[in-house]
Amino acid sequence: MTEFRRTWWTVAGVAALTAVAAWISFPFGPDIRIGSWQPAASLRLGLDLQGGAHLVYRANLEGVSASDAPEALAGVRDVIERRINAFGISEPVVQTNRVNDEFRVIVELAGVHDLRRAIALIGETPQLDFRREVGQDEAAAQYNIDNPDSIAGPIFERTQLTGKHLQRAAVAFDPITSEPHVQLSFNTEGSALFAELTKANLGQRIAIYLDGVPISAPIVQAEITNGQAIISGGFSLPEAKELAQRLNAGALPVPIELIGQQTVGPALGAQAIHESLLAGTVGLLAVAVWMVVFYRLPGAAAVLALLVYALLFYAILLITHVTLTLAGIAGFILSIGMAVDANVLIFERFRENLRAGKRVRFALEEGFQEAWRSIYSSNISSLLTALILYTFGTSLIRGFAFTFALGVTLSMFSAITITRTLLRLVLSLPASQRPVLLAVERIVSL
Amino acid sequence: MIRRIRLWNLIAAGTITGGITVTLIFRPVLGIDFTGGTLLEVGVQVSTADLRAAAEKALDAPVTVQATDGGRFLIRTAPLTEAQHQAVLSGLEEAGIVAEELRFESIGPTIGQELRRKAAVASGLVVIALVLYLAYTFRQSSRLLAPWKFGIAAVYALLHDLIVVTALFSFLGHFAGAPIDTLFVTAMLALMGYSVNDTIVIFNRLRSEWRQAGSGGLLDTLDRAVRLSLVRSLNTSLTTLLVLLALLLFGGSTLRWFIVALTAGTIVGTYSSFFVAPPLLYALAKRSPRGK
Repeated sequence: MTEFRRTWWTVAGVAALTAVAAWISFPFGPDIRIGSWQPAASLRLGLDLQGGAHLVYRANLEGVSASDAPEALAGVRDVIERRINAFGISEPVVQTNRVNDEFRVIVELAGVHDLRRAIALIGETPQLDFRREVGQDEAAAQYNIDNPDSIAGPIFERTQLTGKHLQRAAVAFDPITSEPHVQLSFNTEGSALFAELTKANLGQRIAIYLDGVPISAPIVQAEITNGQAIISGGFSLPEAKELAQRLNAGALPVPIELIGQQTVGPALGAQAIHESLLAGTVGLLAVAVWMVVFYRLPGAAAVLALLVYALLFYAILLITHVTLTLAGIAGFILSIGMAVDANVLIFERFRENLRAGKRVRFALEEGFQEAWRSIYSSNISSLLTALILYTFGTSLIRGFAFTFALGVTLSMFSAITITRTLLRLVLSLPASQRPVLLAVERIVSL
Repeated sequence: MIRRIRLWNLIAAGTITGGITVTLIFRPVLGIDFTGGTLLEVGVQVSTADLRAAAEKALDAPVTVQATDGGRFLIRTAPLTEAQHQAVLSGLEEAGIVAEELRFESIGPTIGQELRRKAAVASGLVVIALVLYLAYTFRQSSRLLAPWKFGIAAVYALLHDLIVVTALFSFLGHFAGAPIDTLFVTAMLALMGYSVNDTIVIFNRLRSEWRQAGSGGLLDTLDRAVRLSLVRSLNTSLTTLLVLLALLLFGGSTLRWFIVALTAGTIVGTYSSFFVAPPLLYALAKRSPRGK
């Protein structure tokens, strides 16, 4: 009687677990929330599934002392992060890492439609500087040009005032023309420089250069001491916004170089999802049909356990917020094979025991016990492999290793606990103890 | 079933020698993630030759172009900078080839070197871990056979599988462009686990049969263990192959070679756990019989 009770307790436990998994997978009713933690609302897809870019930059730290290197690298990371945020990308991943003597910044952008522009934006260093107009004679003297008339157009010379002195940039609108322009606020040092510059160049032009290109060259009307300047270059609103954001993001402390990139267009990602879903469904169906045809009633129990297994798997992905990649899906589909393996081992022992003339009940229990050792040792070796792959692999391989390991672990549970309990229940009914249902020629003793 | 021990051992030795020869003749083609290089996948209706000509003109460097699924092409070349990447795309456009860029991977040589090192370290660790694990699993078998003999036989079968699949990929690399890349190494490592699993199940069976029977020769017991494990092994491989086949047919082209490697490995792994590991175990046992 106690064993009967235990079986029912297991049934209740599995049913409760399945219900929770279903609740997480297909939310209904109140939201699940434990403290600040919540399961993900939908699967987090990897770059290869939703489209995106994995970019590896090498930071050139020449001239930076070893002790300052980590700080410089962190500075690069912060600037890149700000630039990406300015681009409006959700949840970018920006990491720094060190490989031997190389310092790297890894950037992962998901679901970006205009990758080309995003990449350009990360790599670009906006350089803002202010230049004063130089008369033809002065220029000729300075650059040793013999004939001052050969110089065409205005000449501008760099001043000390640059983007370094910028405190903040913002978009504002011209009160008269209502055209958007970019308003600059300088820091204390910049304000002083700007005041000096405007004082010395009253009635002359000061050019504002961005990345070496003049953007606007207004004539100085008065000395400006409040540290405010305006760039008006006939911008459209988005252009003005982008410029302001880029100026706010600032310059990179050290130059970076793109040394590796993997980008997947959204079309390929969508196709990959579609194809893997199809492949997974077909694979699962084929396995289900085979199990039922070959093992009959136990096979059907295994298929039911397999469905619970798939549901639990999905729920765990949501709970752990793990990113699912294409290789991860392959790992999961492969683990279906492993999940079935445990059941096959058990059922083969079960049939052998039946043929040897054991009673159904004992044949089942002994089958589980005999197969356990093999299931255990073979799964341990799979888990070992997955662990090593996870530790040493790239992000692609980690995706595979994680789902594979999760699949192997869950499959042990599904084969041992779920299948066993289901079979205990079903086989306690005399009607189920027929050779045709158990896929044996005859049952010697009932 | 495996009573003709010498024949099976000869076949295994022949397969290994043949596999090594094929690998040496065709030379495996390393993927761009190991060598450094660029892979650009585009979708466009154009001939391979036109695409190659346009890409080579834009880059002024040799490229290889390979057609995959309908209207999809893989362009491979040396590592490209972002500027060169854009130059290829605009070069294609200028040539009147309006291609949709599906995927772009460019791996610098330093990253390639690093991935190669990582793959080597991971492979080495997996082999060591599996050997240690085998030694641990069979630590109590000394009454029947020295534990290291189980280990040697299982590792031998594992090497057999690796060599066969590597030879297959060298051959496929030569004729169909299958690369030895990070994914291939991952498939191999997953297979090592699988191959060892299969062998462990059979050796476990051998031990329990030996314990139950108590009498009879080693050859009889070994043969019985193999026969009793046959249905289980075939069924497991079959279900795994069913899902792999579904992936191969419907799973798209990105992971195709990965799936091919897993499929080939599953088949050869199943074969080797019957016809490579047990015959070698018997040969090892016969050389220095122990106990009964």
